[in-house]
Amino acid sequence: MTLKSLFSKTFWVRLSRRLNQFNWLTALWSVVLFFVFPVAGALVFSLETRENYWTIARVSNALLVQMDFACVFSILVAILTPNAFNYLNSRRELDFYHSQPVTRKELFGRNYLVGWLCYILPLTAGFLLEAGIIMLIPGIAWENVILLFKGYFACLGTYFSVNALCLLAVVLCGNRFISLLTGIYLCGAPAMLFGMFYYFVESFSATFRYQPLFQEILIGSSPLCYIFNLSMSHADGKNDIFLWAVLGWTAVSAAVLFLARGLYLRRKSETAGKPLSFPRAILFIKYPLTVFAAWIGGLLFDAMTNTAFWMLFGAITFGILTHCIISGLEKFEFRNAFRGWLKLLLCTGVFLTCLLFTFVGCYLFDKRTTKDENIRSFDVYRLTYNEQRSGGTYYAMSTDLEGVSGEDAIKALNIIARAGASDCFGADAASAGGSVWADHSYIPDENSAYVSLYVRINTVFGSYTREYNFYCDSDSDIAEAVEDFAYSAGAKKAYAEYLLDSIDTDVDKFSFRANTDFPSREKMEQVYKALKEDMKNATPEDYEKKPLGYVMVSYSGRFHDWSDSSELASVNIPVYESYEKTLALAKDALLPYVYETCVGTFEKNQYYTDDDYDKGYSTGYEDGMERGKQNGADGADYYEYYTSLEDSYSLGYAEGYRTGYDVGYNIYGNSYSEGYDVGYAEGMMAGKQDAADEYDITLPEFVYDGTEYRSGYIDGFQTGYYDGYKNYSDANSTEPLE
Amino acid sequence: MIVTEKITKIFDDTVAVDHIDTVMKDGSVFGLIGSNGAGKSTFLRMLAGVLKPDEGTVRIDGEDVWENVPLKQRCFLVPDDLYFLRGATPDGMAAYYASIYPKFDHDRYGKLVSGFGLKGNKRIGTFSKGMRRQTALILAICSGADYIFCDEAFDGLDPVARQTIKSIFINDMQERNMTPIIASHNLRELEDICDHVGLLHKGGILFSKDLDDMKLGIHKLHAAFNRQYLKEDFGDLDVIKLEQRGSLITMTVRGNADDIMRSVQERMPLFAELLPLSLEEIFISETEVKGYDIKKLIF
Repeated sequence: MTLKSLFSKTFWVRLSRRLNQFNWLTALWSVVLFFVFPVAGALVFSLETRENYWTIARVSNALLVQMDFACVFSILVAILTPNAFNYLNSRRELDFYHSQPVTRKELFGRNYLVGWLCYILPLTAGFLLEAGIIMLIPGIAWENVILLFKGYFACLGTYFSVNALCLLAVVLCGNRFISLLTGIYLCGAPAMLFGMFYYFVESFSATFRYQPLFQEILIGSSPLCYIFNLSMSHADGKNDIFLWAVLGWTAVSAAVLFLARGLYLRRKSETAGKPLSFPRAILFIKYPLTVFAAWIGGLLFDAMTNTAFWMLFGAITFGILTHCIISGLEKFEFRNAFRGWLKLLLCTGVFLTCLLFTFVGCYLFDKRTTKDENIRSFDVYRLTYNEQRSGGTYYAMSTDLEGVSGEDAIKALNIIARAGASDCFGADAASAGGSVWADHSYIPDENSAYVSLYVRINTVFGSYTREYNFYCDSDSDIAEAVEDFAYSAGAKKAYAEYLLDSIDTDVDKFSFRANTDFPSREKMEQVYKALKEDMKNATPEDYEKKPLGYVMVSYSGRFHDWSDSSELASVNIPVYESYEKTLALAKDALLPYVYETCVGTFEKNQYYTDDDYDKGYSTGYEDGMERGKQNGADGADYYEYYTSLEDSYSLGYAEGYRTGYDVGYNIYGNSYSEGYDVGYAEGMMAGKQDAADEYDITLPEFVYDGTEYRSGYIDGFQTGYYDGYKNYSDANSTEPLE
Repeated sequence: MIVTEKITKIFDDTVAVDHIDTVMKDGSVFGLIGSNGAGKSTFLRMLAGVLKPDEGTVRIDGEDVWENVPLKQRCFLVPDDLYFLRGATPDGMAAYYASIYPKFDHDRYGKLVSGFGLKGNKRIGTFSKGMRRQTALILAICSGADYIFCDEAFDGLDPVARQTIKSIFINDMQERNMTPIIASHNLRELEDICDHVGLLHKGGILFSKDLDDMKLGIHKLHAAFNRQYLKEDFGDLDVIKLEQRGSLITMTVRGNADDIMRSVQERMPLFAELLPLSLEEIFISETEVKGYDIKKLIF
């Protein structure tokens, strides 16, 4: 098809006739977009307007969700529009089109254009309607409009990519079913390959497992993959990854489209109805898929049994089955399933040799090196928030790693390492709870309780380094991650050393906090040094006993980097009987933070997540109501009855929760559920944002100012959370240790 | 004029068309006959530019037909398995063809559609098999194409429609030198209209001759003798087939009618009669010679 032909009237007549045949697709797509864009947009706008405020972030979040849907549906349309080329699979349709006085180039261009028109016309209309609707929202910003059009081009890129691959599949195949399978294969193969490689590396070579390159390749390796990563990217504020993937795939898809066109022009008409139009294409489908299946089978059985025999069994069985299925489909002849064994055996032999070499440790020996007996020591380095933000790597910090030795410490950290390995694919940060995850590319939010820990594992074979990321409160996360062994003395020692090492004594705002008889900084540093010294001198046997109490150390800097002195992070350092120097100083200073405890082991926190909702809710609610709020004169001091330090976290949390709840409850009526829902959110937002309000959300002075209110929400929520946590310790009136 | 030179088409390990050389003159009807799987449709699809020959060339008025748009505007393929755009009406198809055939005659289309009693605005999908065939042939005729390739052209047509189409073909041949190339199993129909016949068998061409010449060169002889004769006894004749029932001999013989009668008369027959062969009988005789005799499988 030439530019000249584009301007000919007859071309547009032919195009419109062809387009008419896909009215059903255009109509379907239009209906979907009608609901995804104008209707959903207007709906959200209508509902949210009841709250009387809008923010840039709220609009953006609503748009992002809509765009997620648009992109996912774009994939479906991109799979359907190559139907315009399905005449290639039917002899009578092919006779009709190819006997006409039209070049194949024009036929290709016309059918390709039909797909685009089916897709782009409703999409453009939907986006323009959506743009019109969001323009009506008060407080709309250009950022929102730009985001909308970014989404528009992201949809176009998605369509272009998937469509090009599916089109290539249609051209390669002469049968609709086979072309659908091939399309799925072409779209998903790179992602599957990298996914398996990722898993393979994780299983056999943890050294490379956390290379961010793998994850980035995995995300960008398939247009389908980056679409499904879209929501996660939004959550992390990593839209750039998505956009780059779209751009990358657009470039690749242009090449794929060019290839599809070339093959189309060379495609023999007589191949209509046959599984493959280009028999040689089977080389790029059958053997990679067979090897891939063997790989999956091998790893699957290895994961189940961890023995070479079953790994080989899985690899061979899966490989043979896949080969038979593809061979049978290749010519629609079952007998064909038993042909081509020589090539298959050759491929499988090479592949299995590689796998076996890996397994027996000829190279990539990581799977073996993580055994305790092969580990000499660990070097630990905790990455600060600022370092993480500036993209620091452990390579640059290798000199800063501090050694951790001792049999039990090694065992403890090795279990931490394995805990991390079991969660390799990077659980969403919000749902990570107390586990360890490995989303290497995650850049923490400034206010998040995020810990990034580098551990260099020195083995008898050599050293390698891993990164472990902990979300939420670090100590409890680690405790949960190592729950199974956390009762061991070695683990406690390693854990305690880790906690103490995590404190930066050079920061200005390092302090112990107290509400009375506040010790001097000099005194505080003495306690801190004594703690470190006692800790180093302690033996594993000392940790067998229950701690006498805890020193709560609040500090700023490092990974929090807050400017407000009142916003500090805290860790609880257990103090054991053998901590003579610490205990002496504490007694001498009458520090209120070393006190008796009935808790001798680490306890899980009660997170306010879906899983822990009931538990957290019950505790917070009942305590708050019965002990705190029931006694109105007490204010928020219900925790005075609490004796378990570990639960203080929960209580702190519950305080923020309860305060918000109560306020909301009072304001919004006697309905518990409504009061809870609204009161919680509102209380956290409005109350905490402006300290002068004294948590009084009845002063909604920012209610019509989207920016102020949004700021209030984020700061307030998190501030409230941590404040609640620390306020508990401030007001703690338990007796100092005698 | 269409000239094919050693065109060959191979599907996997099957030779569908095997080095066929033919010449199809303008303004005549070329009948393409052959056994099942002989390669007639494949041959037609190569002529129409749907399939590209693996070997050889198809030239229409000296030009290669493959991807030749101006040349293909002078050709129209009416396949055996008809296809129309989904949901299309005859009028819609006419508009579509008008966009690719510059000589499309709308006036004539209107007349023919109404003449055949078709409704131009009714969906073709609702038409009967014969009506669909009529629609396809009307569109082909109105396209103004010089060469119309018809695969089983009259399949499904009633006798009246069949004769009408034949008349239109003959009329167009006279008026604008149109050249229909018709492939069919129904040899009696071809016999009425064809000027030239090509017989395909197992991908190869057995012969390609003018129908009249062909009929003059092959005869059926009924004769009765007072003695028994074997095929070998007629060594001076080109006997294709000989059947004897009692004293009555039926022979299919190639050659000049006078020569054949003279030879037979020399053997003093009780009775001798020379009859022209129908196209169907010629087809059977010629293909039997090549071993295509299904009757042997049954009887």
